Amino acid sequence: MSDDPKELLIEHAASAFRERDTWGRILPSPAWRDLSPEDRDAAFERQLESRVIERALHPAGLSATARAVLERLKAQ
Amino acid sequence: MTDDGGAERLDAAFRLARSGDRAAFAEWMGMLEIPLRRSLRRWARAVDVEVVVQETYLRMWLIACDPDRVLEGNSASLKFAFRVSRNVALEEMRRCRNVRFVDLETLDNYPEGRVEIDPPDPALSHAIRTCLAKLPAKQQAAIWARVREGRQADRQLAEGLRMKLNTFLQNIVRARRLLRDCLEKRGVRLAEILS
Repeated sequence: MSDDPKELLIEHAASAFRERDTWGRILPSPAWRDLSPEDRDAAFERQLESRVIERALHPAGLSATARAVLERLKAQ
Repeated sequence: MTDDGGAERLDAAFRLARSGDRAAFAEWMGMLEIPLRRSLRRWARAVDVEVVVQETYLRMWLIACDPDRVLEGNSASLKFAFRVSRNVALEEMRRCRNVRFVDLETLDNYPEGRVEIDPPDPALSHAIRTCLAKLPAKQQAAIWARVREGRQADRQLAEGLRMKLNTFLQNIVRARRLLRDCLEKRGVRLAEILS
C-alpha cells in the first residue's frame, strides 16, 4: 500500500491521543509539528471530522477527546 | 448567535458538574465540543487545536469544582469556555513560538463565530454505521479501533491489530475516503456538517 506521506501525517495528527511532559502538560502531536501551515488547516478539518464521527457513534455522544479528558479526571 | 434551548441545557449540565458530577461534565463536554472546535479554526496553523480543546476542558473542570467561581448570565459556561480556549491557544502559540503563523491583531478582531449546540443526530449515526459496515475488513478494523479507543496512541492501536503504524494509518485514510463517498451517496455531506 502507498499513500501520500503527508496524508498519513495529517491522519496521525487527527488522533485524540496526546503525550504529556513530566509536569503533566499536554504536548502537540509530533506529526502536527511536521506539517506545513496549509497541511495544518487540513489536520484541523480531519480532527473535526474525526470528533464528529466518534461523537455520532458513541452511546453518550462523547468523542475520543472527551473520553481522554474523563480518563485524566478519574486518574487525578 | 446562540441556540437558546441548547445553551440552557449546556448551562444546566455545567451547574450539575459543579457538584462534582463527572457524568454531567461529560454531557457538557459532548454538547460543547463541535462549536468550540469550530471557533478555533482560525488558530489551526499556529497551535494543535486538539491540545487546546483538552486543556480547555481540564481548566473548565477546575472552575466547575471551585466553589468561589460563579458563572452568571445566559450561556455563561459556553462564553467562559470560549474565553478560556482563546487564552490557552495564545499560551500555546507563545510556548511553541508559532506567532509567525498568525496576526494577533486580526485574531483579536475576529468575530466569535457560531455557537449553536449540536445535539447527537441518530440519522447520522445510522448512516455512518451502515457505511462503515461496507468497508474492507482491515480498513473497518483500523477505523473502528480509532473510533472506539482513539484516546490511545496509534502505535498501540496498530499493534493490537498486528499492523505496522503506517499500514494502520493508510487503512484509516482509505476508510475515510470510502466513508465520505458512501455518506455522500446517502445524501450526507460531511463537509456541510463540519462547516
